[in-house]
Amino acid sequence: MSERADDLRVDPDHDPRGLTRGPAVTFTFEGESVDAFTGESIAAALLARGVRTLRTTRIAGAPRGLLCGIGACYDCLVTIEGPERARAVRACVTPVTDGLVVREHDLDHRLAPGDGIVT
Amino acid sequence: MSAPDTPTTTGAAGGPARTEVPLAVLGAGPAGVAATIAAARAGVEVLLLDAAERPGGQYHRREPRAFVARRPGALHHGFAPWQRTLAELDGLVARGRVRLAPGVSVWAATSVEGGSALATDDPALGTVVARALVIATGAHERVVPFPGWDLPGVITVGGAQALLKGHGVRPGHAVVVAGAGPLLLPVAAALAASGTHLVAVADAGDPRRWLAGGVRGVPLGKIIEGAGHLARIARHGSLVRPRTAAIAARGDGRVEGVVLARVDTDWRAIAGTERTVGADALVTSHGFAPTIDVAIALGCTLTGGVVPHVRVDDDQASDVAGVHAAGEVTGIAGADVGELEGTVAGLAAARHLGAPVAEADIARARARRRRRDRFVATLAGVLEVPAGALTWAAPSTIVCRCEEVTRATVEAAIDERGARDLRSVKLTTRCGMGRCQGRMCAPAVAAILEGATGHAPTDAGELSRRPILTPVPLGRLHP
Repeated sequence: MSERADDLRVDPDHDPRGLTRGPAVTFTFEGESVDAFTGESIAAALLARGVRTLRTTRIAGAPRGLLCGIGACYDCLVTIEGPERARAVRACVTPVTDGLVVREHDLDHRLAPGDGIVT
Repeated sequence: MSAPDTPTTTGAAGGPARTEVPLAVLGAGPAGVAATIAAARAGVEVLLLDAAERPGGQYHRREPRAFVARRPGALHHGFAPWQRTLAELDGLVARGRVRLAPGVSVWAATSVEGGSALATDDPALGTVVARALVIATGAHERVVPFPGWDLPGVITVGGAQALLKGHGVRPGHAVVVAGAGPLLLPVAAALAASGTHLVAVADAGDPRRWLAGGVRGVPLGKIIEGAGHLARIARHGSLVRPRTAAIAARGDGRVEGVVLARVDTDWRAIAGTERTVGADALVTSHGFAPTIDVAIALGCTLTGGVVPHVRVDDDQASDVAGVHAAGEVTGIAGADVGELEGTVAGLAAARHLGAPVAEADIARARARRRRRDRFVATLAGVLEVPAGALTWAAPSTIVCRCEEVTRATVEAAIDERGARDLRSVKLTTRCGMGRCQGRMCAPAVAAILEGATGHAPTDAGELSRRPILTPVPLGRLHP
């Protein structure tokens, strides 16, 4: 349910399916706490709260967000912190979990342009 | 739940798992499920692989299992028949004829002696070796590049549908829906019914083009369905503007405005008609591109020009022995036709495996599919993107999003460096070398090549040819 006027989740008054969302979870994006619901993708939960920029591109540093929504375009990459290492995932097909630590995808930027390594 | 007698062998010394099956179906959308049911009813054991959590593909995409919908059929088409289909599938699973493998991606595919080998990212399944295969991998969307299409806030029509139907989230507070294709009106209607403020709804095409194939080509049900969408959109305060396209998105780091323009029959913007509307989201796409990467990996021949699909015969058989294909991957035709093709493919695959399939049954299934030929031809005409759409992209407009390659770079490769096909454009510009593996840029690069050379590229599908189909951690390659 949307409790804020700017929440993009479908609200009960305009919800043809009459959804009850899954249990509430909290994750972080770029250090900020984000409330979400079990079953939502990272992209959906972020977009619901107005976060559209998920990464910046390797060469131009241009902001990118969700495009295809079905896992085909790989534009919606975000970085998830894991116990051993960070990894890149597609935000639109990755479900939120409680305590997930998410950042704008930056694994490309660990390689400087022109140093000869092709990712 | 796995069928108790489906053979699964783990390699020696705890090596990677290997699952041998008579028939594997790739994709649990309308076509894949129909193929699975047809083959299972003919007595064949089927493994149904799908990347999503629940069957349905895009057309029948459901809310997450963690959600509960009081009226789950709202926003859906053909919900009741699909529920009956799923019930039949569940029955076949319970009887051990079908094994479901949701949440699984195939990262490599190759023909082997007597079948196909599919490397999966499921440690329990490992490599699936199937004597017969039905590819039902569907399609993704085609977006004609335009200035600002790479801004956050630009979402495809199917992407907006996935957000809404899959997560109950709207794409923005002030949304422009603009583009072309059969998803445009249903998604605009669903967004409107879900409380989305639609600033404008624009169709680049002319609704009358549906009639080019004769009214008999289009099932009456589809015409009534279309009228229903228009009414629903109107009820929420919008009118659909025909022959109008979004030719640019503007904003500082995100969509803040959309430039709409009237277009001619060639989709060329008519000078002086450009108007900018404020918006925080642009929902746009211009048709579909079949998802052909597995088919290419297996060596299936493609057909079709700028946007190729897998070539199949009347039995939905590709030119690779034992490999059938059905649904959008064999040409964009919609869910109903996909189901008919899936049924043919399932029966044909079963017969290929030696199951007793009555010729009358497969002949009837073929005939039902052939009766839709005129509709499919009409749809193909409607989905064609005219050459004038290529004028929307400026020289600085990104064509390959993954590798950040501009139109100017692609054209320089053609004009100055002699690139004449997809492979040479790829090698000289990096188009198609990025993570999406050419899915998003292939139609645009092919269209630019067609404009320059006068014919569709001779190496259709080349941008999607990869030994590894999706990024996979090294640990999976060598556990």
